[in-house]
Amino acid sequence: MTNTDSASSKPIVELQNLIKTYTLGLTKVQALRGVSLSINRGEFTAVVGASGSGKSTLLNMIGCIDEPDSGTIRIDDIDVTTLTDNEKSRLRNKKMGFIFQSFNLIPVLNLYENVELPLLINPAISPEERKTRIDSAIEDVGLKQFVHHLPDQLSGGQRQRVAIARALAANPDLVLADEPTANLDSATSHKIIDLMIELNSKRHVTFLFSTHDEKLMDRVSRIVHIQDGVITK
Amino acid sequence: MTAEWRLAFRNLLRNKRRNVATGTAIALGFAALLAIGGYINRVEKYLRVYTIFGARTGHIIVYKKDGFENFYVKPKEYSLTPSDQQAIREVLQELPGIELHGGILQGQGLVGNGCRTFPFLAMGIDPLLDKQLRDHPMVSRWTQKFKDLQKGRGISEYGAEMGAVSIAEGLAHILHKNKVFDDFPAGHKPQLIADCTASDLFELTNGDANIQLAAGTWDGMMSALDGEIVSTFNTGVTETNSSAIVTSLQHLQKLYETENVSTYSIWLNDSASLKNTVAKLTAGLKKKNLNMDIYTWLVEDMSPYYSGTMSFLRTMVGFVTFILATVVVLSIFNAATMTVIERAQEIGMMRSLGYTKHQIRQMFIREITALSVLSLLAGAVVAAAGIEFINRLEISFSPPGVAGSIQLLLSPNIATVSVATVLIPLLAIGTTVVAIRSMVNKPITILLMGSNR
Repeated sequence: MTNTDSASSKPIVELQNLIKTYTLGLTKVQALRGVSLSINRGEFTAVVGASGSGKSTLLNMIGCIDEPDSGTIRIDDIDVTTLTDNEKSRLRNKKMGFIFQSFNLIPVLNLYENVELPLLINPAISPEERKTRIDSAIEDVGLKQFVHHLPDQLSGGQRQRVAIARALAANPDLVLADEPTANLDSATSHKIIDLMIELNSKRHVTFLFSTHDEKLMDRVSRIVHIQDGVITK
Repeated sequence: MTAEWRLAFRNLLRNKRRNVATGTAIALGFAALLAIGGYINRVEKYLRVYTIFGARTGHIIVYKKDGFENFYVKPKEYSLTPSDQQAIREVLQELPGIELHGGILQGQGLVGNGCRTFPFLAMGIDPLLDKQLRDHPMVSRWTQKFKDLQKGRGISEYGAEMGAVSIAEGLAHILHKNKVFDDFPAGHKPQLIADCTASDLFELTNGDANIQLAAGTWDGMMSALDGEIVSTFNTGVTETNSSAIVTSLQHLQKLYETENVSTYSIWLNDSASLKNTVAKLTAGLKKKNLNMDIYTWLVEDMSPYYSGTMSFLRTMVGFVTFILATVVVLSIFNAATMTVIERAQEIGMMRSLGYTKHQIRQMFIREITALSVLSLLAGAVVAAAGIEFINRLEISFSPPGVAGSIQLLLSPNIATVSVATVLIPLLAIGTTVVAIRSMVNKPITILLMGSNR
């Protein structure tokens, strides 16, 4: 069902004793309380937990868009806690893809141009290769006939497919999806998860997504449960 | 067009109403700056040409050593002798770019109409040089009023023995001399006015073009000469329009019983060579062991009217420009702030995709640059149309201190456009400040800012 079989022995993500505390007014909220986790290459993993359990914080730490108070994060054997802001940006661009709950497409750009966004800032990719990658990603998500459509001309499911294509266009090692189905109906949610599973298998990309939808649990190979900032199983 | 610029232009379409409002503010601000600059350029050119050609100041003025300070007290001692003048001419023959030159004699005295006398300020100039200055292309272009005499013909049109005098129209008015030499038949003799209290005095004074000039000679004697008013003119300046007289150098020298001149004026083909020419002239005169002071027309003492008026106008316009620029920049600052706030989630998304802070700043700067350039082009078109419209209306106006009025011609030049385009870096700086402030937070914070709005 998923691509765990092809996973290499070296983990793509290694977390050691992550601690993160937010201050909300006068209250301190411990979002992560010493989380340690390892994700192998090619895994299709769901992080499951109730709202406020810390699953989004965990994904944000792995995606280098937030910083832990303590602990280490290694992505593809790189200790990201020692990287500068620009180095983290480059790491995200080359090794990660992001899928957001609210799609986050740029409304004035058509489907093709939205998928093109992460490739524009990678000087190593030639215009020809860029086009090949975009076409491939769009074809993989089944939206070839909509390349010139603007986001508001697409359904919610189609928009999330565009977001998936954008995440995949840079050929990342790891795709992080924070509640990618939260804004979708049940049928579309299943289709999106099926698509992600299919791409995980086809492209050998590691997927890590957060969800609180119990109905999706039986479709993933690995489930990480998180509760009150602690991984329970 | 690169994808980055394509994105910038597309993003401008996202909030059309705001961007149109902002663009309109920029365009109108730019157009206003161009129009103001055009006005200043017009006035500056008028005053510059008036000073150099109209007032016969010249680009370069040579005085006897300390002559500027002492000429009116001790004219004989601090004036240029014929040998001084000859020496200057010899130096000038060796210098390139000299268009015109000649000695100028200035003096004061009383002018009378047979009954009453008034003070005059006289200038003696070679009649041919006077004509050349009056017919100069710069005069035709910028101070037509000086070129066109109010009445009559220039002093160069009459024989030296006649004592032709051109007087300011204000002086002609108070002298009750409303007719010039050509208005009378040939051989017309001056009328003697027996009764200065006669009821028809106005007609009597207007019965001829004769005036009497009286002054103290440089040796302390009294001297008087007859003169014939051959023309009247507008000095262009209120304070001299009721006292100025222009006559031939020879005629005025006769009045003061001298062969000297007060100053020697030099006009250049190209004012850009002013500094270079002064240096060469100084060296040439030094070589001849001549102890003289050399001034340029830009020295405040040589052109007090130009310097004072332009200083006043530049201060005024600088203030207005500052206000305009502030309004425009604040409009952009406001628009950029709103845009950044509205697009916080998008900024967070782009940071997640790997865009650096610098790249996102550049994205916003590209947008504002695109908006600014489009708006400035629109502003330039609006300004061009508006300026053409105003110029065609032939509106007359009186700049500060100018006698009479001149046509309101808005003439923007390259310098004006350059000053106006200072808006572009100001706008870019404003946007950068906003973008930098927005980028202080971590990507996740920006993402959450957007999603929590």
